[in-house]
Amino acid sequence: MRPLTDRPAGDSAARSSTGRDPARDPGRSVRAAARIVLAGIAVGVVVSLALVSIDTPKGATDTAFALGALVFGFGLTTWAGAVGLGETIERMHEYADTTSRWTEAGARRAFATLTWFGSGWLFGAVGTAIALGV
Amino acid sequence: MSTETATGSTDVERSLLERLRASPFLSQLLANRLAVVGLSIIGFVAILAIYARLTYDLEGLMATQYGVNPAETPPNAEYWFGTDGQARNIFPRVIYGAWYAMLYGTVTVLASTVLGISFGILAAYYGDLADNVIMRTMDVLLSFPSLLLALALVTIFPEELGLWRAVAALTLVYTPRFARVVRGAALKVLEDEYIEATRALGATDPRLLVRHVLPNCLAPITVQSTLNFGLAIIDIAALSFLGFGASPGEPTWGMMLSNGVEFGLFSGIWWWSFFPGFVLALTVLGFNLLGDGMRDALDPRMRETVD
Amino acid sequence: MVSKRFVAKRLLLLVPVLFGVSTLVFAILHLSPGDPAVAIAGQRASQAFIEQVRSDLGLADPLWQQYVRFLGDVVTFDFGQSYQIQRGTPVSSILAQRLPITIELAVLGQIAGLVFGLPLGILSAVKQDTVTDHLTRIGALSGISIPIYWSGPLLILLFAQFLGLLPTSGRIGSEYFLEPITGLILVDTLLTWEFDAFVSAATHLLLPVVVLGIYQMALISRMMRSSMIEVLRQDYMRTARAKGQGAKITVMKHGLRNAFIPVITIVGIQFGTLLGGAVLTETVFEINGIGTLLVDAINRSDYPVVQATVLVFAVLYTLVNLVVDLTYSVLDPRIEQ
Repeated sequence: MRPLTDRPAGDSAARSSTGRDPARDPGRSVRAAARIVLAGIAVGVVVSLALVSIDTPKGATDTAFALGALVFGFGLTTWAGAVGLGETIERMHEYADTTSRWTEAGARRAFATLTWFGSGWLFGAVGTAIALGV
Repeated sequence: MSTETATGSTDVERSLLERLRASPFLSQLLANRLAVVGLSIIGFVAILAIYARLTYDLEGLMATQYGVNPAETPPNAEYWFGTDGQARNIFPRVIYGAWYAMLYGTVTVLASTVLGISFGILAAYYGDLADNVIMRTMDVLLSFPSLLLALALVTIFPEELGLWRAVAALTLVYTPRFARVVRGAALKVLEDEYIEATRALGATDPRLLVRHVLPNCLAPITVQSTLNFGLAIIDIAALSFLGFGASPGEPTWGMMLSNGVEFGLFSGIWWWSFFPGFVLALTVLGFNLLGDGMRDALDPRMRETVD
Repeated sequence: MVSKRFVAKRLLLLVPVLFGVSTLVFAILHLSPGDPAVAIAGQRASQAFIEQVRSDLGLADPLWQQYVRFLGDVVTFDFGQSYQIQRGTPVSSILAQRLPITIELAVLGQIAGLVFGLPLGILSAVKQDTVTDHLTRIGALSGISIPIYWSGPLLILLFAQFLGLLPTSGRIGSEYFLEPITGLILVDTLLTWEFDAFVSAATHLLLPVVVLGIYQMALISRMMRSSMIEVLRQDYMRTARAKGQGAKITVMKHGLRNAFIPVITIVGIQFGTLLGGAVLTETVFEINGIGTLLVDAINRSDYPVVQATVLVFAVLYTLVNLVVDLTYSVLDPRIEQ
């Protein structure tokens, strides 16, 4: 069991999975974010088009947009929650000894990914709505 | 699959069985008088629930009874718990409420247990990415206020679902607790050397999970389920109290309480809300007593994973 | 010690929290089956009239346009007007009037819970496995088993109906008319030197605070007990006990401090439970705080009110946890913020 108080160790573990610290290489992290946003756009378009088959164009793109907003809003809230409450949650785990491998850095990364993905989804849905002339 | 693996896992199984038998969990639990009291309360309420379901006619309980019974009668020999504003006999309604509480409570707890087990084991076993996304989400969800989260979620489901709306919302609210318990327990098991050994011998992932991780999680899951059952009963009733869930006339404790407080309490018809609330609180106390006793009887290694 | 940078960083985080929460609420409200246009027009209104209402509210536009407009409103703290609850009134003024009511209730409830819960937990831990301990634990267990929507009516029944000592519901006797200054009724009555009104307000608040406090007390005493037992097991505590009374008292002080730390964290995280309890308490005692406001607004599809109320809850939650973290670093100087 890795001691949870050992934050630097947690950080380096988070780093090692990508090979290097994304914060120290802006070009790479921008490229990674762009890839995720593109994936989100694709999903937003696909979901909108899939819903068109069972709903009006407006209803379909609205629902797709709302689903994207759900992902985006959840990602953003949890990201901020992880940054703000991260230490509190780490402490809670430490107290309860629930051997969570929770680290603030890891959480931040996971939720940032979700947020970028959700934002892409939003743009995908908006693009489809405009293209369909809603 | 090689024969070596087969014998290897039977050995493990045998030692597990022995461990279970030798575990002082059951004897300790039964030695805990409060836990036994809790268990008796739950058993009693469960019998009432089944009895009500089998003997009472739901339509009759829901319909107004003007002319049949006197309205707003205080408790007496004929109407043990009195009658309400619609002249309905409160006693059978409260008893039938036990059926609703047990039914909806069981479904809520079972559903969140199954979801929690799936997420928890996935997170523990596959580590890294799955762990990051699943457990971080669960952790943050856990820090959301549960009743407020349930209020937000309940609006997503269509109103026609009635109380199942509350069940669905609360299932989602409780899932993180189970995921965390299971993940904590699963991690402790996976760290054990014999899992390494089994894996090295070529046991496939699903086999590993079902055979080794699940049995080891059972005890903490049971404790968490018991404690959550009481919470589920309280929260389901709270949601119907606030107007989300039961349809008017349905003999659920939450609905009876809500009507009793709104229409009866301030005009002195205290029995309308008193009895449903009393039985509800007693049932919840039963689950909390049992759950607390179970936690104390739990292997200390696992105790920490239940909150 | 607490750095200004830490506080600034946490306050800055309110921006993404609010952005995220408002987006979430916006999405959930759209996905939920309720239709505000129908709610406003009435179930029996003609289809044409419903469509008219819908386009008047701007709900007929593509969702992304509604979202952009909504974000613009949130940035300027303009939450629009209430659809239903007080139709046409700006949501911000409804909130301004109702928020202090809930804050007063929640703060007093939390204080009551701490004042009674902490000593009970400590007592229970020090006298572990004695009759006192068992009684306290059963009491605490009953406290979390009895839902607020039953203990509230029960106390109303006893103290208001049978004994006639306390008022049943509301915030202050109907004979007093009070122009809100801070909105906190106890403070307002003191500021205007109306002592009778103060007493009336206090007696109205007593039962709701007790009901909310019982639940908090039960939670806190349970946490305090287990935390304190943990501390008592530590070696330095045992040594001190062996050395005799004088040393015991000194170390009790030190031990207490250590035992408080996890409890404080949990109190912060449990703040949500307190808000949930406030929602129920307000409903039982017919107090018009933001708890009843939220429930009403959800029930009646009053979207602007739901959105604004949830944002207020999010801000409260974030701020309370900031305060908890600050308290934490004061109690435990080893934590560098």
